[in-house]
Amino acid sequence: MFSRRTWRNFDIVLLVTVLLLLVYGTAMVGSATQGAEDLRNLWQRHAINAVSGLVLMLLVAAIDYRFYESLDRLLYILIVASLLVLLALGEVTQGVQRWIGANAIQPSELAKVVVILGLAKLLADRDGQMDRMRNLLVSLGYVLVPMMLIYLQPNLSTAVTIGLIWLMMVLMAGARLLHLAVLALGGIIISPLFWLTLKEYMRDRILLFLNPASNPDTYYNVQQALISIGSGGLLGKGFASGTQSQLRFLRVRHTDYIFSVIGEELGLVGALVLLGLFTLLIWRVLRVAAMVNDPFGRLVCVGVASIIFIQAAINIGVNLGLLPVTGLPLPFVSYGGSSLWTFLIALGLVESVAMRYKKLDFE
Amino acid sequence: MAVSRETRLRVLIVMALLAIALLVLMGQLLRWQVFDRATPLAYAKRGEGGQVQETLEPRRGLIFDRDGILLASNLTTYSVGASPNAMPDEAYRRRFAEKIAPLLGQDPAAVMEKIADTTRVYVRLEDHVSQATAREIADLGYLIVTLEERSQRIYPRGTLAAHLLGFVTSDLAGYRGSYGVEGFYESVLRGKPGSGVAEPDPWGKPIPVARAQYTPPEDGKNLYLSVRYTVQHIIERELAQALEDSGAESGTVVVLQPHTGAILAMASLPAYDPNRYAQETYESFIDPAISKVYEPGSVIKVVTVAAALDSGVISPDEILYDPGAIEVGGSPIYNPDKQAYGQVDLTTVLGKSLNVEVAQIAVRLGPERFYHYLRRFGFGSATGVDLAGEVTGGFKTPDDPEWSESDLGRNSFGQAMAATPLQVAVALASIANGGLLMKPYVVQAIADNNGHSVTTASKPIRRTVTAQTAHAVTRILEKAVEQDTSLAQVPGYRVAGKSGTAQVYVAGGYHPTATIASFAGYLPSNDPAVLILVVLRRPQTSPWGSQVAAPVFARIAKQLMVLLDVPPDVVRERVTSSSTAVVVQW
Repeated sequence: MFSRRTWRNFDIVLLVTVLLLLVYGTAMVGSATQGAEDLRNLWQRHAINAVSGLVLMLLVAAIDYRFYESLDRLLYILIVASLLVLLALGEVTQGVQRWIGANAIQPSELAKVVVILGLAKLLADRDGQMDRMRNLLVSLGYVLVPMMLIYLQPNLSTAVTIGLIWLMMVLMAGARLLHLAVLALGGIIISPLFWLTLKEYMRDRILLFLNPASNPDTYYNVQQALISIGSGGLLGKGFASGTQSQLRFLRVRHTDYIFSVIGEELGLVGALVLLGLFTLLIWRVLRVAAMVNDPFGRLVCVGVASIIFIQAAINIGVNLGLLPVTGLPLPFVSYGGSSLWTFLIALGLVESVAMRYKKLDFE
Repeated sequence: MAVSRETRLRVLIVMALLAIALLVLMGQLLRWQVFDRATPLAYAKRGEGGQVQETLEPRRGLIFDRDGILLASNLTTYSVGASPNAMPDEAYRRRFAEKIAPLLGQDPAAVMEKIADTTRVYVRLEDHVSQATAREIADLGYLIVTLEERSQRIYPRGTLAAHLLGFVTSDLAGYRGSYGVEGFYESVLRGKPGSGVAEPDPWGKPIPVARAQYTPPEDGKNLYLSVRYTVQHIIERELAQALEDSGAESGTVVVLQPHTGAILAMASLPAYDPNRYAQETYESFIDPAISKVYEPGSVIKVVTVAAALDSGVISPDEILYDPGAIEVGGSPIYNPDKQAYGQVDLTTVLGKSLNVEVAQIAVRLGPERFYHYLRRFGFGSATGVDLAGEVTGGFKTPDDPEWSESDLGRNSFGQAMAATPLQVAVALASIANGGLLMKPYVVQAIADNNGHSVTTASKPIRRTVTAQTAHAVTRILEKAVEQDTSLAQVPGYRVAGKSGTAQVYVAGGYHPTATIASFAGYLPSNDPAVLILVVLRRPQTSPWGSQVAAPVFARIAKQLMVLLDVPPDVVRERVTSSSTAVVVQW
């Protein structure tokens, strides 16, 4: 398990890329919160979360990913059960209840990793048979259960994220585009029903995105994000010198709007460096996927690449006014323990795959 | 087994999808940061060119006593608000409520209730939070908390001189002085607001360092009262004691400087706390010394006698005959003790307060001259004191259709007429100072912030009687006190004064037993330093002014002679009569 030969294939570039993202994130969390007494030590907590997350990542990597493969049922049952419990608690306390314990772990965050593992296993078992509609529907059913539970929390954005992960993974697993198109059509037909089940604030956010002028109060955050990014220009106003963030025009700037802080203080250059780091990271993950012959390992990598990309794209898209406002954090950069650990565990899975994929040609 | 072509193709498809998404993001980034920066930046300039108008409130002038003791000041307090819409979740709200509630002196549950509506941008949590507490709240460092500075008027001496000072109300329209000095000098105390144009902060409030235009506010001017804190304190203490001793329901004391009209102290009890005016009743704000009238009673006999002497109807040494009863305009008039005194001089008339004699004098004077003098002494018109809410009181005259001659008889000893305590004090002061009706005042000097001050000049309104008449009346009052009002005497000083006992007018007539007992006097009588009027409403132990009000007068007078450093009569006479060496000696 800890043999030298295994670790020889550990992807150092991927680790370095993640380290750079973590350092970047810690620095920006520090900059965004320096003006507020109650948040001032947040960058330290972020750094501690990052270090402990890295240890978790190495531990996950140390274990053969096929061991996780064998756990798929157990993990799936556990996560569905915990989501159910959470939902029951949520009924009692009213409103959003996404966290278990003293805001330590969000089951919906972990659910993403579990869904990736479970779905990878399910798809790998049907390797080469995903061109059948029946198998496609089985896989959809598999993700719909946690999706519905998360949606009912209510947490639409995470549910959508899981749906997108499913889409990417079945695409990789060989689903036929025609089948996906049929499903999409079916989805469009039942979407009015779906609209009726949406919570008031979710509809507001979507309507607001379609018609920003409808509620100036809620549009405030989006507007301030755009002002931040726009005022940053090419080179930005300098680290810790953004007036938008330092004067608190940006509200949730160390989590949802950290990208705007980067855009304002470090400008286009800083934003492109961030995008570059994400591209590098996703490329390294997909590179593993492309090299691995084992369908399970490959699908895990695709799932992880998808989740990182989807969340990063959604978060940045919100910051740039491209998407409706959601509460999704920017992977590795935004402050938030659960999210950080989830992504680092996911990368641990990728490393585990990278270290052990079969290079039959040479063995 | 090599990776199949199919797989590689699919990885490529996924990569292509991701690349497209990435390009869209980068395109948008380039758009906002390079090509179309104007659009997002225009959001920042919304409103009046990204600027807000602000009104800079001036500081309200302070009020000091004559010696510079602070009586009214301003305290900066804070309104604490929060933005529930920016609170991430229930757990955060709960922690927030638990942290901030003890500082606000509230229950965490109450705070939770206020921030329950998470769509609201702003909710007010508490008003009038002290600077120290605001500091503690700011130290918590919550972004979602706003601290709004507000100026609050405070009266460090609590209820002391409450009626005199008035208070400042604050509502949405702003601050406004009400009653007393605060009300009368509103425009002086208020100052002029300044204005500024500045960039707004996230909450639309101006950022002070980003001001484009700035006109500083002109602070209100400070007032120095003629009132002395110590004198005020003494009269309030003695008045409170008197209310307790006599069982009177309320009382008023006025202390004037007869020569200038300066009010050294003026108090009415029960008083209210201007710091908590909102909890008090409207009725309690009305100053009984200037805004409520009473029947002054026998104190007015001094005016009647002075008028008669001044117009030569009687002479100071004249001996009058008291039959014990008289009819004026068909109404019988008796002496207070229902006795007949026979041959009496003016000292006895005033000392024993003989209604019959005074009514006779008034009849001899005739209504025209009597009311002429009553007006000259200031009755029926405002004294012009610089306090808000003064009323004039009044009486019927022969011009009124309802007037009858019986009114003349009753008016001569202060019944069937209405006057404020201050009117009575000012009228008596004109006898004390040698015949001048002075305009009373409470503000001695108005000082601006540049060190300039304007001092109030004492202002005689008119002459009431000649100096001779005034001195003659003073001598009569001196003797009257000496002979008949021993309770008003002050060891070492000659006192001139007159008591009054008026029936209380209630709906339908006079109350059978209730009285308003008063005593007005001044000392040292040949060069008075102070005139003191004591009015007790509905005393229980004795109805007579000479019994319940006179001792209060004496107690106050004794203390004021020491406090104001007035030498006893014997010492003063030695000084004025003999060499300067004595003066040097002390």
